[in-house]
Amino acid sequence: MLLHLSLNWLDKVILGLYCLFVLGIGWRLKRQMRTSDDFFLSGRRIPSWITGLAFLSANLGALEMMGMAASGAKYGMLTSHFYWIGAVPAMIFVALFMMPFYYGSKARSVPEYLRLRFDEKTRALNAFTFAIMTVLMSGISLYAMAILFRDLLGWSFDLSIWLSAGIVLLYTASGGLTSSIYNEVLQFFLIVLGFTPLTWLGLREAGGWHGLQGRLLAMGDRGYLHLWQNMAHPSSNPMGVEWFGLVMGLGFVLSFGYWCTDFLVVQRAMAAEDMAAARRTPLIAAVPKMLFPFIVIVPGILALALIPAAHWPLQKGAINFNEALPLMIQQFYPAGMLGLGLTALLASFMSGMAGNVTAFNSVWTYDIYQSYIKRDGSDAHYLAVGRWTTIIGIVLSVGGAYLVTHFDNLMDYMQLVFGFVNAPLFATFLLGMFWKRSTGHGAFWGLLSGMFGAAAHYSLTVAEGKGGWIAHLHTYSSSMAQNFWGAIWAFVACFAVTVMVSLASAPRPEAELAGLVRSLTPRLEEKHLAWFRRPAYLGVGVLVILVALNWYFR
Amino acid sequence: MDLRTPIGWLFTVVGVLLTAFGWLHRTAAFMPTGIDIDLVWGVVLLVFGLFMLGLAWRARKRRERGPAPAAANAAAASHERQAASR
Repeated sequence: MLLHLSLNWLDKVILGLYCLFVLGIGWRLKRQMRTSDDFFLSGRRIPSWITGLAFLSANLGALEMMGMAASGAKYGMLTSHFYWIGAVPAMIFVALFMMPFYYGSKARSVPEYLRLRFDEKTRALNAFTFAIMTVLMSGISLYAMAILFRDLLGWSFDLSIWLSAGIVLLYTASGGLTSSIYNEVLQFFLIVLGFTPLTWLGLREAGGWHGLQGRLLAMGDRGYLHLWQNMAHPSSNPMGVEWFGLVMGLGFVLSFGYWCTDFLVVQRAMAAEDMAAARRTPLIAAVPKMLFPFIVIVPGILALALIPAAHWPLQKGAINFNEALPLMIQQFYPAGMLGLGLTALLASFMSGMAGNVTAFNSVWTYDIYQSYIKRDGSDAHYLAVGRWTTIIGIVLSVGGAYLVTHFDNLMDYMQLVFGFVNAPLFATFLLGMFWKRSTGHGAFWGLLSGMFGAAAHYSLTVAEGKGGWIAHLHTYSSSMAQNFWGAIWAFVACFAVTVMVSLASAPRPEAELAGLVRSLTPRLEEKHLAWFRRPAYLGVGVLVILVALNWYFR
Repeated sequence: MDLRTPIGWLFTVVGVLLTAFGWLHRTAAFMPTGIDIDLVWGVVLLVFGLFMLGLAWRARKRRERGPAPAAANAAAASHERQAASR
């Protein structure tokens, strides 16, 4: 059984107004897109408050909104680890230590940085895997959106796919990266303003935070509102992970691998107006990121505490936690607010897809087309290629969405393979930026070994009946623990092989590495900036808030 | 284009619609929690929308007046330092 919501005329008007504004933004920006730099890099002139909010929103798809509310209902505040230790330290690190090389090297993409720092084959490996993953991920989220709107609102699957793909196509082909960034900022405000009342109304109903605690205790609370006190052993918390796996796997490898190397998010900072703005971008993003659990996870916990078990839709005889957010919306939002909430979800889907398509665009045009197909084209030629690539990227996403409908397990397998590919990336960047002796051969073979290490770990261990393709050497309490430990193994394999192969191969002359490696790059001078604009001070401020939140919810 | 302008307009229009809708539908069916959330949140959206429009308007006025001497100096200093760091 699934929930069904019916829309009032006002809900439809709000959804329609959003689509009109999005198209209007694309249309207005079209006139500003004169060069390929404008289209792919927003001419590097966007202020940091915009790139910061886009940096955050690019990661905040609707799947994540639904998934985090579901995890909130299932695991409680433990889910906040994904927003706090699983994101914020990495955001501080990329801002303070890595952005000087991404932005300062004038690389136009993350794979291009790899070519400048290492060599062509390392760039090719990263560019091709990123391009394929990005376009398929975009297809997966398109599929998920069409399924959600079909089940929740009774909309046609095909209509949802083609309509949203059409709107995204119109605004990204017109305004390029700027369009995508602007819509991510719009999405940010829609999510904050669309979902804050859900927490407010829910907490009011529950009798405040203490009332919520009381209700959870009465239900046999297993530490739903605590982050650390049950983390000594995998069996003592519902996630099935112990503190070391969480801190190293999620807090270090996975989080740094995503926030510090994924071009989808780093591209937002690369569009900033100057170096200081690029460095402030992840730090500005970190502040709302730390507060997001209160509007995406707390509604899930409230759903568990307030909505009787009999009202929850079932899946295979058990409560279907994925319905937490729709249930809360149904329970607390009348017509009007319902339209606002659904518009926020639709905006997350569309801007998620636009983000993927614009990142795909840049990597395809700069790192594949310009590098291997046509090296000496004019700027106008590459601008035209960018526009055509937008169309092709969207058609491929739609194809990906239909592919997933025909092969049930494909989505799970794709996400698994993407995990293998992403897990070792941070080791490569860490050694590249901070160890001048690391070489192109080291990076390439290290990356491949890391991917192989992740796949081998999955093939040798079992969790919740998954994995163990080759042998069954270890059993994890949960898939999450298996995922975190797989990432740790991938990182270690990549790190060790990169170091060994680098030491065995010839180093690059130091003169070629200036601006690409920390020890060969002059320190940035930012004393002319007011204290509240200095990245180091902002980083410390963000860290203090992070520690305070973890302490309060310990 | 100043992004605050379309954001401001979108939330102003949605805010007005929600406020009016909430005002006209003050029945139990539209107030599942006892609060007229459409009316209350409509006002919040309206205030936010007008605030964004106000910021965009102020920025436009400043641009028309030309850059302030202090801001121009800071921008020039930042360019020099960037050039030096390259």
